[in-house]
Amino acid sequence: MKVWAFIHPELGILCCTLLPEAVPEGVEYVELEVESPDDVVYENGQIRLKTEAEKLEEERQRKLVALRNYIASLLERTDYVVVRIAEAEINGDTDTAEQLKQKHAKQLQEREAIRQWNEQMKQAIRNAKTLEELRSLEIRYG
Amino acid sequence: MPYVRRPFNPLIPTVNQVVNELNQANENFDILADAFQGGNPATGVVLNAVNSQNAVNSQNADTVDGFHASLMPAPNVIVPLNASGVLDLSGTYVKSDVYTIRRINGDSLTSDYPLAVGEEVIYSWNTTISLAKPLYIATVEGFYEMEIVFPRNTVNATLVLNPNNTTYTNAFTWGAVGTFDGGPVGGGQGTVSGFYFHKVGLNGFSKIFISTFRANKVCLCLQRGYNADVSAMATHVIHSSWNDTTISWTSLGTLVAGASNGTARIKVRRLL
Repeated sequence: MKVWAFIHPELGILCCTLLPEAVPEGVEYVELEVESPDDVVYENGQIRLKTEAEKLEEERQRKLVALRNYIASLLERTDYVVVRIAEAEINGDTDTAEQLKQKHAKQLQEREAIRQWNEQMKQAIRNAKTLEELRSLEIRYG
Repeated sequence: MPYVRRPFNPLIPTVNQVVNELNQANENFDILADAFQGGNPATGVVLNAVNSQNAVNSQNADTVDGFHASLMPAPNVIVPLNASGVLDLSGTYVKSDVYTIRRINGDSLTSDYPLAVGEEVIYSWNTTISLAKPLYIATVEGFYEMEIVFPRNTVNATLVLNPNNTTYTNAFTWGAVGTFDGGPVGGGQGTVSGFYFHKVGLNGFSKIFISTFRANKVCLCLQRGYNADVSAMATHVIHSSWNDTTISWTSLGTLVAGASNGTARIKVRRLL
């Protein structure tokens, strides 16, 4: 698609219009052919298109954030187990802490497995060489 | 013999004056009678009221094109606006087969249309032809709603509304809570350059409430669709806010899809 990129006269930020008539009157603009308006950047006083490497890195960061949020939601379900054990240990009640660890051994193992899977996923995301490869990585545990 | 006004001239004698003037009077009466039903003015029925320069009042016009008028809605009755200028249909149950008072085909718009309260616009957006869909709606400070239906698919890309047909770099924040079928509840947030409706918006159904007040430019989106990140159907609630209070939202803007996914159907309605 075509965009018309310019620096907003009031806000001083990069803007891209999708219709030429939406460019404010009297403002200088650059006409660009893009895949997405997000492909345009303003750097060192220049309006330009993102490089493939920049797009790849952006998608990588987005994927890592999505993974982090997903892992947090998985661990959240058993956070109460860790909190109870930690409380017992803080109070010096090691017997109770041990009992809780045994009682919730399955949940604790599951948390460890989630963390290991998280590390594998992070590595896969960091190792991805292309956008297609990155996008094909499915963030789903189990 | 044509119609002659005031045919009698008693102060100007002429030859055969009595006969001539009485004949003219008879002719005038015939012309007058011919204007009424059955040639009889006593019926009160005018045959052809072609035009009225100033019809001051009619206490009982009987019908217009065969329909009676009344303040009480009823079948085959014309209801006038009431004393407050309101079309008050509360007197009885009224059904409309067309659902809305006015629906506009947005695909024929080429410049911003000033949508009135209650009016709605429908669009068909073939994303294989264009990833951008200008909505061509002039907005004022108020509330609007938008519904978007995409085909269910495995496309993994975002859906964004760029107000004023413009991206404003990092001027927007979004936050979402959601869950995919069989999965945990999760959330996310970010900073973007337009109103962001998450990836699921490109794969299912979204209903978006829109506030266009300059000091409160916000979209709230309810969404159900396919999330290709986790290969499952997902449900989200997303807020997307334009963190600026200086720029007016004067054009609803352009929808931009991150990838093509068949033909979407869109409805936009002004609520307030």
